[in-house]
Amino acid sequence: MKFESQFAPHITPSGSVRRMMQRVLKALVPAAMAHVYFFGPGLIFNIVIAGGVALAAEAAMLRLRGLPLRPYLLDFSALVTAVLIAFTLPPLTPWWVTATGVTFAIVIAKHLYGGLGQNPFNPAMTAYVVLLVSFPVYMTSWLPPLNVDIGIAHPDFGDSLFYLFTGRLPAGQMMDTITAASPLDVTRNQLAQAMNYSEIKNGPLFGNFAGKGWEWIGIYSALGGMWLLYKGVIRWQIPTFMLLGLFVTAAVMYLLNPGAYVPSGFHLFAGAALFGAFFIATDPVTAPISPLGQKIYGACIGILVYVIRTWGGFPDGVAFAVLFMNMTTPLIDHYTRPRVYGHD
Amino acid sequence: MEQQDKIMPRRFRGGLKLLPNKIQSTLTPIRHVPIPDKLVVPLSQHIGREAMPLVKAGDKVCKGQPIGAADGEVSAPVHAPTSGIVESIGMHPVPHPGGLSALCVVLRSDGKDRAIDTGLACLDYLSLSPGEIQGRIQQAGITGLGGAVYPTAAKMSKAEDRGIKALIVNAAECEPIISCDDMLMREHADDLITGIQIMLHAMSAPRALIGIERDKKRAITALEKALARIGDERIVLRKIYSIYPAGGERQLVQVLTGQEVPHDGFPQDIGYLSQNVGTALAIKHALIDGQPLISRITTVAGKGVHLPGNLEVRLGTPIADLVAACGGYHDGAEALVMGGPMMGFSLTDDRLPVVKGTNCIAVAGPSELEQTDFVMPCIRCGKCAQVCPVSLQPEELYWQIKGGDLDKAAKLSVDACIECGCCDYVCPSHIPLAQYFRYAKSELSARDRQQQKSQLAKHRFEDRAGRIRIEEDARQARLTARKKRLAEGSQQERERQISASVQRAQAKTDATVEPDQDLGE
Repeated sequence: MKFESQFAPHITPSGSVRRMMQRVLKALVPAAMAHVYFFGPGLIFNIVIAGGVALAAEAAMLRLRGLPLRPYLLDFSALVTAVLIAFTLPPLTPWWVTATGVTFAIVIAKHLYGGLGQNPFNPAMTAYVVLLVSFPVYMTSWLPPLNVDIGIAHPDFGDSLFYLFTGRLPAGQMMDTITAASPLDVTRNQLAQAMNYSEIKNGPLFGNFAGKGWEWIGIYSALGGMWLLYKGVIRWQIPTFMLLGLFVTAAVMYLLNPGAYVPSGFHLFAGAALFGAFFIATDPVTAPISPLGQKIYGACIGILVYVIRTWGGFPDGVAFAVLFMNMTTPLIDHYTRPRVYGHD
Repeated sequence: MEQQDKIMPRRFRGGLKLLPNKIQSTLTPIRHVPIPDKLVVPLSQHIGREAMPLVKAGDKVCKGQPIGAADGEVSAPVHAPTSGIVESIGMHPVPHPGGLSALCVVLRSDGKDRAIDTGLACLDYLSLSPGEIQGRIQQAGITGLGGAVYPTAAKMSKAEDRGIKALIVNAAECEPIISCDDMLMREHADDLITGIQIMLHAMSAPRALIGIERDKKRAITALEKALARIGDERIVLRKIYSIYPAGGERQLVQVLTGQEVPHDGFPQDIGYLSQNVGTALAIKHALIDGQPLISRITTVAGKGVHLPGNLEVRLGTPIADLVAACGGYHDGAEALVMGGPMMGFSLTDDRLPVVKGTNCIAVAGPSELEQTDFVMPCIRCGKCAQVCPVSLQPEELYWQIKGGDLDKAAKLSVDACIECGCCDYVCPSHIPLAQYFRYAKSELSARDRQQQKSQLAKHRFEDRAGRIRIEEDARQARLTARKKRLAEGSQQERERQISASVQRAQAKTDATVEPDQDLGE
């Protein structure tokens, strides 16, 4: 009897890119549910728009590059990028802002650098930064959480959808009247006005650990992230060391001067810290590979997040910290190679 | 011994927990495959030089009679697996990763299986010197039976010179599916211990460590009982964790001794020599029973055969006979692999013969393989680096090799790759990483050989150029000296010289007339 020839190993591989990406999407579900619970259905709209644009942009680029559509579209990597971008957008974001960001991520940040696996910078964070500097007003117009009563009427489902596609709010409503500064923003401004944290945290936007709503999105992100850890999709070094870097730096500063800085617990649960630790910094393509390299990378991101939040020009620093550390990945990889068996 | 119940620490990093899938082939005792009518016995079943044929077509041979003689030290003789008539000697396809053909003796069995006295047996082997035992091991054609088939005596003699701290008996058998060593230990534990004792004597080694995966419970019990019966304090059983590739030579040395084998050396260099249990049994057969290596135990397993099991089979038997002895193929049999699923190579034809290195024939069923998958780009997930037992960065090596930078790959120690396939198995992009590394290693070693050759040629050229220059210098020196003398000398002197040379020439002419006297000139 004759048989086909094939290379070892003769065993079905243990996983696939598609399964990894699908698991990332699944792990985002709890955080997405928390997001919708606190900020309304905006995230869902944003995910749908971002996902559609991402697939279209991915297909167009694959076609231009002469690559097969099926395996690459079905690897879900474009969808993961789209969903991550959607998480960075305020619930009320005009569709074209979303589309611009996603197109930039897929076309420029991903495919112009060589496509899947080749991009030096995290595409979702690149898109977020591009949108933040291009459309700062849209990108910072956050709705307050639904269950906070600060005299702001939340747009309902229909109103939100109408705004997304027309950019117009129902009669009598203005963007300024329905949005509020994010807790990180508030904290920052009030610290600048010489208020200390114990006064700030009594504000209506604050919950148990950090900003109302935000803290829960963070906690649910962490739950999803733990599941990814358990499934072996991500490794523990980057999230742990990023959170440690942030926590320790914040703790040191707070101990030095409790009046001028916020406690480290707030930093951990505020903004995108937990979300970024598990879903952004762990992007395999742009992060170092060796365990030691990942620890250094994570810790540096954590420290940078604190630095940018405290002394930088933007309220949150996860995106900038990650992009900055992306640049150092080849260097870290080069200097943290483990010693090979039998070699000195 | 309190140590015997402990499990050795894991010690090497990476590796995989794979489903062993060994139960199917260990349910029944070792079966015997009937001797086929026609056996194809390759003359090269080992690493090193091919054996030289000792028979010709039409010769009658007996079982155990040498039919191929070792060619040099790193080579092994080949023996007739049964009695019969040599039908022909010629090139036939052999089990080889590249699907090559090699010189084979085709033997037609006479069905009598008559043996000759090989003179290998020596019941009191302790009366033989280690060198004599090594000689008999070499005569018996014994090679490593774990799969690498390096001539055993050559390995031993190299090791003996350096002094051996311990013999490592590799009973780990970490690859999935393969169970021939497991069954061997269950059924031939006493003989195995005898084989180990002979090896200890042959290498003047003070002790032996048997490294066995802890989940081979029945084999462990059998060995413990045998050891208790025989009571040899030098032989110690060491249980290890079942992590693939714990049975790799370098990994096993690391687990059992805590030491790493230098990348450009062998375990012998740090005082250890490792031998497979199958080899130990073959040594017992040779020195106690007088039987050279003409058969082995082979696992036939996988979802592609009806009744997986372990078979005692004569070398040269077609693989198809083994499958037939295991109830034949399932309808969905998709691939035939010699060796285990992780490191074995695929065979394209089941008429190929069983050779000394055939520890397993894996017949993959329809659900066991999914190899035709599309290869995605590397996403740098680093899983490959996590599982690499020698701490390579496979993803980085892959980039360099794909980019054609073999120098960089060499610098990143691609030579340390043991081709275990762990990285391949975990790669979510289904990149054939092990294949890339095999390619780079063979390219680099080919280049090394080429470089050595051209280095040699360069040296020869330089030596020759040097010789010519020295001769030329000497000639020039003589010439100038003569010119100087001539210029300095007077006319008279010159005339005297001329007449002297004329006389010499005259003498020479005279001498040629009387040839006998001239030889001294």
